[in-house]
Amino acid sequence: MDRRAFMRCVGCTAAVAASQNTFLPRFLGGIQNAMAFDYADQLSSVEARYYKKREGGGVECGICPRHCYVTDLERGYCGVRENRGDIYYTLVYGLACSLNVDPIEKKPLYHFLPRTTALSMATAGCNVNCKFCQNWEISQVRPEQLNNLELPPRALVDICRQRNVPTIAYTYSEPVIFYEYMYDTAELGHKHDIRSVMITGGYIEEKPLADLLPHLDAVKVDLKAIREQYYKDVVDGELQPVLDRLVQIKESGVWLEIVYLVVPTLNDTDAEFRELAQWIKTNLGADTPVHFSRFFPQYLLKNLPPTPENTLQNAHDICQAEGLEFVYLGNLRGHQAESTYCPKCSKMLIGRRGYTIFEYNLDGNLCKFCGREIPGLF
Amino acid sequence: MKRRAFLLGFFAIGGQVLLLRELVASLNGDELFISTALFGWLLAVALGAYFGGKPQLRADSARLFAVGAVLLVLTVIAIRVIPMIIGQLPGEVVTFSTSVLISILAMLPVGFITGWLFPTIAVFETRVRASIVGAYLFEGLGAFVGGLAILFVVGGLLSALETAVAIGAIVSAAGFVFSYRRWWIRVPVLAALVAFLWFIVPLISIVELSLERYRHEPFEIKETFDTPYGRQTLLAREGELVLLTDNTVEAVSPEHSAAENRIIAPLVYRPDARYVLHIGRAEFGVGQIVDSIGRVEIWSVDPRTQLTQTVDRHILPPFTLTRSEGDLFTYTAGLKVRRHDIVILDVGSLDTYKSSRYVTPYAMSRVKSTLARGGVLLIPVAYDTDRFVGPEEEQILSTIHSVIGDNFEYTEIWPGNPTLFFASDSSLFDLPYDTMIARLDSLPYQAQFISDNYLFDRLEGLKRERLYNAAFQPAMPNTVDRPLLPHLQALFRSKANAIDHAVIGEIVKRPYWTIAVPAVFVLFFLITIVTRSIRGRFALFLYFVAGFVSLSLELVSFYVYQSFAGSLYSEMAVLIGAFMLGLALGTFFASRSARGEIAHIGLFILFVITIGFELSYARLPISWALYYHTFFLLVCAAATGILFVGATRQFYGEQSRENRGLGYAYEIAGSSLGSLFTVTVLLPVIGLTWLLIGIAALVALAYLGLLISR
Ligand code: SF4
Repeated sequence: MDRRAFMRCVGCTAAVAASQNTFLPRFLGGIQNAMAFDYADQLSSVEARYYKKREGGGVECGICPRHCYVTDLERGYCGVRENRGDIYYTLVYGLACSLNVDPIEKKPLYHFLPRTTALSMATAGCNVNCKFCQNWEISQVRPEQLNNLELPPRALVDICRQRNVPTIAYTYSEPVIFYEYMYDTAELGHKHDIRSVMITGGYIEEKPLADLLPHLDAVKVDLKAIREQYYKDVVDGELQPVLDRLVQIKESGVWLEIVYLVVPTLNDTDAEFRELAQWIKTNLGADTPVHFSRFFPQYLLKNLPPTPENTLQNAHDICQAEGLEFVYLGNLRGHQAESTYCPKCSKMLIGRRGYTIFEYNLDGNLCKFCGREIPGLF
Repeated sequence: MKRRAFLLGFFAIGGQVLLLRELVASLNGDELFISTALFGWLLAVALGAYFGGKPQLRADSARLFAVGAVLLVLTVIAIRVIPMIIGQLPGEVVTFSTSVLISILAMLPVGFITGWLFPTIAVFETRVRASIVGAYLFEGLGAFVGGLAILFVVGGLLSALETAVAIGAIVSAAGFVFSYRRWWIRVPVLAALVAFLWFIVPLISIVELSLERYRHEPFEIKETFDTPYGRQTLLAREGELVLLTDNTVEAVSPEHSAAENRIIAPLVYRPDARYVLHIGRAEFGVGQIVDSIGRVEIWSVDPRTQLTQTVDRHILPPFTLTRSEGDLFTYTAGLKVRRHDIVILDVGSLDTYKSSRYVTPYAMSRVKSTLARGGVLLIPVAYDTDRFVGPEEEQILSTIHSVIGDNFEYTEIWPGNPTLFFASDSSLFDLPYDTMIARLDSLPYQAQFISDNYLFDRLEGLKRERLYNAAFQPAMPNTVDRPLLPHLQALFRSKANAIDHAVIGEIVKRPYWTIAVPAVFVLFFLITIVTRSIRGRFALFLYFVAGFVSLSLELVSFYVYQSFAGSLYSEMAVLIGAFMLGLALGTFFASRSARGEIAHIGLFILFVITIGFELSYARLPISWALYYHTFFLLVCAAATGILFVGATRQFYGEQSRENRGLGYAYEIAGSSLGSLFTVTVLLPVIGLTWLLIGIAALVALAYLGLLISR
């Protein structure tokens, strides 16, 4: 075969291969089809609240302290709000990416309707980026990367009523970023005697929170640290607005509990635990429940070991010594700090093991033994 | 020239293996990362060979060896501290894109010097004709010796840093001794080397400990050492003991939740179980729980003997524990009668072929060979399915389920973290919740996490339904022929970083780009065929093919060996040694052959053994695997050596004024492509059969070109 003949032969072979356009997909075996995750057609387009149009174009979101300035066809930091022609839209209204019926103790809310359940829901997105996030698979992605359930507020309320679930919990990711969806559901829920609890990082602006609080029955705030630097390095957020919102929630009278995730080496010194206890006592009151929870390697901190039990015990002891009345430890093997004790007579009021309750000694809000009033909704 | 070429081979293999190992250990490398790191090395070598071949850049090999030695030690140290330098928090993972960047930068200095040394030794420092072939031969021999030495020394006699320092000292001293013939230079250099190895190298462990302290501040370092399988560090803080393997948390003590998930969960289905096999380490809780149950005996299988002794110094070994050195495959291969009631398969993170090979039909057949009638297999996987199941996770879970579902009659899955896959050939799983709790309550051990306290929530209807919907999706199984799981896991992890997700997503989600690999070859082939001086130019294509095919087949052989016969490093050393030896022998005999044209012989052998491998690799008993792969690699490398000599005769016969590092650079470029794509990227996308057919087709194409270029 001379060179020209060879080239001709190559040309023919290529043409034949190109015409067999069904061969390639079969040859590559189809993993690409199964993995083309793009659910963009599901996205909602409900106009967002608390945004301002800027002169010269673009909008400024006012839901959280980031105040994202968003130009046309761009999204805010949380990835779920989009500017389309200077109208700002929420893309996740009515789109839940997770739905469960959880024991209320799992939130954890220990002073709020014990032994009941909550319909827990979330959408994609978050307004911070904690390096330890347990829910990073939904919080750090855009909504079109998940296969969402279409559940408008009415559907959530109906599920609660059908299943006899008294509460809806806005949880897992960050409910602040699906504010409109949460607000409307909570408002509708109250009309049908369904309560609402917000499980949040507390990184929200004052006005949206003030408008929302009347429709909420309890708020659990993840106070991630008591040092600004930690919020900068680990959370990509700010501490001060969170502290301000904690005070605002407490003053509103909506039930408040605090969770502090103890991350080994990053926010676990005695000084930090003491500072935390003092701040809570001074600003929120000694009767505000505080839960110390255990870190497990997740997301970007996958190479950090879980929190040692001794560290959690230490946090508990320091806060009690500082005068906090309800300090809890979660996820420890048979630990007595899972249970609630009367600050006055020290008797066990609610005995907990995991998510189960094995002892209950409250009469309404009163200790059965000494009559001391226990704060919360029982 | 011979001794320096030998030294170059020794240094090159040492540098490459040590740096790759350090990078994988420090940056938690997966299969995609390993390929890019290897690519970085080969690219640096190719650049070094290209620039080093330019007469104006001519350098003295003794000095180059000394510089390379210093750079090797500094690079190993830099890799260990780089996560802190770039501002990572303690325990923070380095993202894929950052890891790739770091690995390419880390490979550059030593790789470049290694590449530079080749033309320096083979061209500028010799007067012998056809010295390229001679250099290749002795480089191959040096690499053979170096490969064996590294694999036996690292983790056995010396740590990785100590080995880097020792190699650096030997290579620098030998470089000077080989270059300077005056005794008053040689004697003091050799004396200094002996003194250095004797007095300084043992002190390196102090430096190493300080580095580890800095890395893991504020944890207390209990012990830190290398094994042939990776770096082990035992940390302590606040009463907790943490086992780090290659910088990743492997086990923690006490960690009741992890232990209960492994041993209490399968006891729900087999409360009468007596013999439990745990593929993994049972000292971190599982064994202690078994102790408190009393009648259960546990076999723990793990290849790291040194680790056993270390763990025993810090954790009281459970009484009921029988430990075996090996893995699932080696353990079950030697098994005659033992039949286990429960097998716990700790598969790890599934991001490497080393871990994902446990989730294949073949691994399931090994499990079944040791499982008693009515026995239960448990595979805990580190995916949190408690609150949601993402699309990427769904792919992974359905792939795992399709493997166990195809091999066992009954399966069950528990949501949570970890997600638990159960399998059995008996119908054990259809139990009412109350029966499960009653069985748990009847155990002498009071479980906290696998108990009613949490199970009522964990096994709640919505969660189970969501998980079943995900896991029962039709999916291709993960097989030895087509290992999908590392790719799926890489895609899942990449979601943590937008750049990673874009890069890995493009690789994995749209594999049409794979057509670019054969296109590159065909294009290159056509260019070399249509140029005027076909004979000379086509030789460059042959160099390229030699590099690509040999590295691809070497990696394919390692992969297949590991998938079928386990991961014992001493055996891997034999395989690498066989390859290096074959390369040296093929080069030697080909260079002595009087026949002018011999490239076609190399190509013919490569074609035959590639097809032969495809037809035979899965049909052999495990006990033959080592001989089979040793023979395969020996022949494959010998054929590559012949091809290299043939290409050299064809190229340098006419182009004696050309840059003499050019052929070497093309061969390295081919190897780079092979390392980057073949096993790590092409294998999961097109499968082993098509991969081998593709390699055979490439060899045939080269043969065709040879006929045309005559
Ligand atoms: S809610 Fe989202 S868009 Fe609005 S300010 Fe916060 S991060 Fe930005």
